[in-house]
Amino acid sequence: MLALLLAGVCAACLGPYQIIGQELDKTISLGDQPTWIQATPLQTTLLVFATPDGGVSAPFTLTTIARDQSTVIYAGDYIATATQVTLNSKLKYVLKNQNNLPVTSRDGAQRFDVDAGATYSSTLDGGILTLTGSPSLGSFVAFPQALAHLKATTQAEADCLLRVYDLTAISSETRILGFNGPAIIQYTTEAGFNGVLSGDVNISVESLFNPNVTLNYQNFSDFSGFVMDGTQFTKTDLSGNGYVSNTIAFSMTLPSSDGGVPQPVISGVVGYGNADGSQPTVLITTGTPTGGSYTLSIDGGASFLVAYDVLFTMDVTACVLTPQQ
Amino acid sequence: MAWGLSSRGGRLANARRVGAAVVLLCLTGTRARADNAQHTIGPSFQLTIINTKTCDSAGRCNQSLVEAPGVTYVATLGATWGFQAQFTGYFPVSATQTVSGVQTHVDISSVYSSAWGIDALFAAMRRFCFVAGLQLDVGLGPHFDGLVMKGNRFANTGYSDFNSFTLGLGMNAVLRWRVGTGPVSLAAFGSGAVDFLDLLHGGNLSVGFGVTTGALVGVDL
Repeated sequence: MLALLLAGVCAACLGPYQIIGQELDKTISLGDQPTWIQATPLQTTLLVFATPDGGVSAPFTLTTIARDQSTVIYAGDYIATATQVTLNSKLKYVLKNQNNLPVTSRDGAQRFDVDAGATYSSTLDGGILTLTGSPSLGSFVAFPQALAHLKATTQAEADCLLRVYDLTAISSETRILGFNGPAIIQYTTEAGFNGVLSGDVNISVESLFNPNVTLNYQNFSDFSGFVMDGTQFTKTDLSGNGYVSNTIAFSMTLPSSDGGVPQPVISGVVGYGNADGSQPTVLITTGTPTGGSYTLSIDGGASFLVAYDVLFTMDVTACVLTPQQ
Repeated sequence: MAWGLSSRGGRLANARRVGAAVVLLCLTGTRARADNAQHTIGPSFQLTIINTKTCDSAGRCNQSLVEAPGVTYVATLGATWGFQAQFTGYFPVSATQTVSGVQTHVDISSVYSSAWGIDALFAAMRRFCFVAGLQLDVGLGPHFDGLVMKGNRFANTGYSDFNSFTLGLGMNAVLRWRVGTGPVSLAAFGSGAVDFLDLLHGGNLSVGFGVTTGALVGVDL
């Protein structure tokens, strides 16, 4: 009934056809696993290599977030020797930046079955993992090591920290089928999506005519040491005009050298806005942030207002120490 | 030349006489009149095929095929020429999804918490009568098909929804047999449609097909 009602009020509302029998979530949380990062001004690439558990192959994810937020994630299994890594991708997730389009014309997050293999020569030298091949993936550093000095004592640092936070947020959204597109309306029945490493994010849409979206993160982690917990609520009309509210807590920890309790690097809260839409609140026009500010509050530290458009430029090189290629 | 004209005119007159006799026979047999309506209803089987423009790098595009039993109601108004409306409510039981040339069979009840559809055809009708009590109604007109399948959601996972609302052109044929001289008739029907537009998915529809067939029982009112 929902779909037929929808057909009555719009044309081409739901984007591309879904696949019959398509599972919403194919992610099985791996527990804390080695994560590697490479950041350049143009894109940030994150690799999760699960530890082979007595077998030859183990799961991996390869996440590439472009400067304009467009994201591609490959997931599958890898086989590693001392000098080579072969990635066998089974799934490809795509979330394009289509902020220039009305919500009803966007593709939203999509997932494709793929069968793609690529073999890279690998070296690990001084904590730098280098994967060369055709095309070369370049050099990576361990994610916890790259984020070991995250802080927010100045506005510039706060801006960069919010971008680092957004790496996990975008990664989670890319795996929610239909996210940022009209097919999100299917979540009038709530659905959950697992984090690559731990936790989950639940998404629900209030109703067809009140398409308010709730994202509820619970101990959610896609990359080693970075965890999100909290709720983001987006209140919009049918045209995607409205605002965001609620808060999500985050924390970054380093694994302890003695295998004990992880050591905190930084933690805080990202405020999206007030429940009544009063400032500071991120404003939404046709499904895209167009005004207002995020509030970044550091535990035991200062609070910053971060302009809505800071996340439009996903360059984390200012605060993440990684190889540049 | 004159003979030819006369001959052609004679054949035309003969044809008209035969045609009139057939129609008269048909009308006698079915009691159908220009102002009466025939209502029939019965079980049917619906096949919905959706070819999308989502293709892989090898040019193989996704196809969804849904099989569904249903209930069809057909109403006709008129005699030799008239109007025909066909409504089918159907309930998918199985589907075949083709992605990159690989077919996957899906048991609807294990994937979707609810699944139903409505197929409608509004047609200009032409009636043909062959022998007393037997008539064939053939119609052509706009076609609509709405399919709603709500994915199961359980625990922390589930399946995505599948919806379509396609529009196109359809053709319907109803072969009706009068039981005795009363108002009751039995019928078999088949319809086919080609859809070009989906109001929910716009440009993603390449072409859609709908095929419905079934048996009907009905009355003249």
